[in-house]
Amino acid sequence: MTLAEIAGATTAPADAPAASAPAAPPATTGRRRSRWRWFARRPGLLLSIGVLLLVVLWAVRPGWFTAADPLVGVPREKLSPPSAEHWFGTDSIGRDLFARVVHGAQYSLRAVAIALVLALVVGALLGLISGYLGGVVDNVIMRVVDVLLALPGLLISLILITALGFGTLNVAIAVGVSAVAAFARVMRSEVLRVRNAAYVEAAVKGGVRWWSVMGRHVLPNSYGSIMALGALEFGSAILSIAALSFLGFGAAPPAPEWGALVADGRNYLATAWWVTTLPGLVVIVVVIAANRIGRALDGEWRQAR
Amino acid sequence: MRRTRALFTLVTAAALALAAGCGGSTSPSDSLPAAAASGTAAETAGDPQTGGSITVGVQPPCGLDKAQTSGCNFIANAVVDNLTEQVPATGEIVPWLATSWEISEDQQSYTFHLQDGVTFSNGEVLDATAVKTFFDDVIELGKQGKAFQSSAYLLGYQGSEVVDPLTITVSFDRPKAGLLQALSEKPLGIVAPETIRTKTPDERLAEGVIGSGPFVIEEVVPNQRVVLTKRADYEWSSPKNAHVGPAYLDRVTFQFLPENSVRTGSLTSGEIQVESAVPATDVDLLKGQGFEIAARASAGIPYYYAVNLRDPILSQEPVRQALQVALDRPEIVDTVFTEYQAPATGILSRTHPNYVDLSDELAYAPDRAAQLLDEAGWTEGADGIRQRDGRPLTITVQSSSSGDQPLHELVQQQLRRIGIDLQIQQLTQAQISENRAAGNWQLLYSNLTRPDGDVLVSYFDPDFSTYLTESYDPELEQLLSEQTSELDVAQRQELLAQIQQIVIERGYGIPVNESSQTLAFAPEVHGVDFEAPWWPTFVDTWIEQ
Repeated sequence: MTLAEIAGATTAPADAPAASAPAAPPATTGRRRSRWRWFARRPGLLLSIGVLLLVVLWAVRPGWFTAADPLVGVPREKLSPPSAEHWFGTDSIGRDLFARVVHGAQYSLRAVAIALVLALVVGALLGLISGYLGGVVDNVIMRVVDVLLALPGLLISLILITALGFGTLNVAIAVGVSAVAAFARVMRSEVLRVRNAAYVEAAVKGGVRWWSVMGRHVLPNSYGSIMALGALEFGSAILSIAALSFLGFGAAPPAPEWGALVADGRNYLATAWWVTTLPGLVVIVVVIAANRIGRALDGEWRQAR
Repeated sequence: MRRTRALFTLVTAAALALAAGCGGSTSPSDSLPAAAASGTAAETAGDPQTGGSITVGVQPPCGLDKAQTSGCNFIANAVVDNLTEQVPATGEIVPWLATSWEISEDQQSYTFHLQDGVTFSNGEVLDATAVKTFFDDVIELGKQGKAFQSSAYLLGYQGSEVVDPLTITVSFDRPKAGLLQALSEKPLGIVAPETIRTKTPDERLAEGVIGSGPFVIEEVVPNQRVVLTKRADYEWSSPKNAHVGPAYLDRVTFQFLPENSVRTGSLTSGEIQVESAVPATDVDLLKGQGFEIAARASAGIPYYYAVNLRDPILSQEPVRQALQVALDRPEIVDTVFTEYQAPATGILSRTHPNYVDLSDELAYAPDRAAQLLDEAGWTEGADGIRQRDGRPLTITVQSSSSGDQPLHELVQQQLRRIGIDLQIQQLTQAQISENRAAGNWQLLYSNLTRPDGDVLVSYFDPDFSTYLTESYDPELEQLLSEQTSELDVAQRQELLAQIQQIVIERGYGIPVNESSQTLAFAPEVHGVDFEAPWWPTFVDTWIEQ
């Protein structure tokens, strides 16, 4: 994402009254129709939204999708291949894999939510302070951000996990912290642009205190692009969390975290492919869907409007 | 940057897909031609051929000095020789480097006559002085807490006297019943004086030791491999070997492959010729592809849950007794193991010479378990987990091996049925060792292989055990020390039977399954064999060229 794109992405400042606000009924209908057309031209996007909705429902209401117990299996039915009864087959101690994947969604989504909120809030705050205050503060924060950006995210996560200990929450925190730098950098560039706008200057000249300017004028006009970045990060956060729980840093067994499901199956690759492959495919499909939606939010949607 | 980020995500996703999917292709067909001939390979193999080398896929070892390690690897086994040997088929103790011995009247001192002309690979002579130096060092290591098994073997050691260069008298403060068997164990394989003089215990673990064995450590690449080469002048072969003289193979490489599926994949693709610790699920697959399977059941303490008796919950005998009968051992073996494992039927395995069948005490009896817990005041709470005084009946097992996880999860499921909440905590081996030393644990899954009654001392005598470090049952401890000095075989068996009964009845250990060392190897490999405890040995191994 180049700076120019980011600058172009956020268009009308909230303070400036939007020109299209007075909405006459015929115009609304027309816009609604064009919106439908816009979606209709993007079946992939619709499918992605469907996938994410499904996963969210898995997380919230797993009982709607499967009656099987994700934690207790029937040992006699171990490693049975996918069938009408067990859509994804069963694992090494006879648990229904589909039920485990469905119930596992809540672990993944909760971790992703924590990670993203953390990255977004801390990153935005750092970027805002850094961009608005400038000078020494900016230099110090940005050098720290440089260091974080220079290290691979997974490595930072691993270091944090080692310090914090195992568990879903810690994995989420580790992934969140490793993403802070990117958010801070994008936020700062937005803030730098907004800070020089006439209405900010006017507020400063008018005697408004600096934190009020920051909170009431700069922040509302610069968070757009990090929201888009958040949507983009959603996919990679799922992947990072799955990777860490694959390595065994996530929730204690028998919690069916997605990464752990993939890891469980790796000893059965040669004899029971489904134990690894199907949960792995679910992760991939969700990541691709999240990525598609992120890209749509980031660019296409705005451009279309 | 937007595009690269999207690309990155996709690439990572693809990598995951690959990791997830590529396993399907680890059943390559390129090993099939070799497999086709395998059915008859063993019979038509002909005479052993000298030369060649093999690569053995192993789990990473915990150290290359057997004196300081017990059960975690067999890489260094062929580097050292022992004073006696135990014949795997019969359990009989026969002379090896000690050609004969005399036992004193009070049965407290042993005089060994050593074989002449035996040298270490560095040229030093293996004589009485070398043996004395080694025994003294084992005791010293034991005092530092670094050689728990080998120093337990020499329990009561008073000192060694060099009578003449080839005669040594070893004295103890008590009669030693298990000594001759202990001397056949690799932890008491004689290490060269040079190693003891010049290397710290940690260096020995990392770099290995100098011994008089048929193989010599040529190269150690940490976390990757250990390469052994044969000694061309080796003539003092163990009496259990199929042939006398140097090993057939020029070189044996032990490749560290911690992932089960990777080891199996490496075997089927021909990168390694022998796979150790074959995962249960792959046995049929490998057989189907024409690989040979060899297995030897462990003779010792079977895999069991060691219990921390200082823990507030597990110090309660009824809880331990409930655990004892709450496990459905046949179901565990049927579900997560193969025909090479069996349900435990006592605190010793069936192949152990002192085995006592306690299967009735270990039979699955969930009602009995529930009753025991009810009587002890552990009542079922709203969530199905029992509690007492507001404290839930939660027990944690610490585990470092992902391969053991299905087992623990199945046990978790079984214990849940009677209201016990088993938590599985994944930790690194280092963390577990640290926790164990600090007493910060509840259950640990472990085993110990030694075909002698003294194996019980290593785990249940607080002086030697790393699990039960404080006195916990004077009666049992008394019996344990009595049996170590009881030379009458029948009397000793009587004591050992009592010990086994007590351990099971009072729940000092929760046996789960008997295990075996399972090897799979390519059809062109011949003469893979086992030592008496269960370790593979490659001294008679040869490869068809």
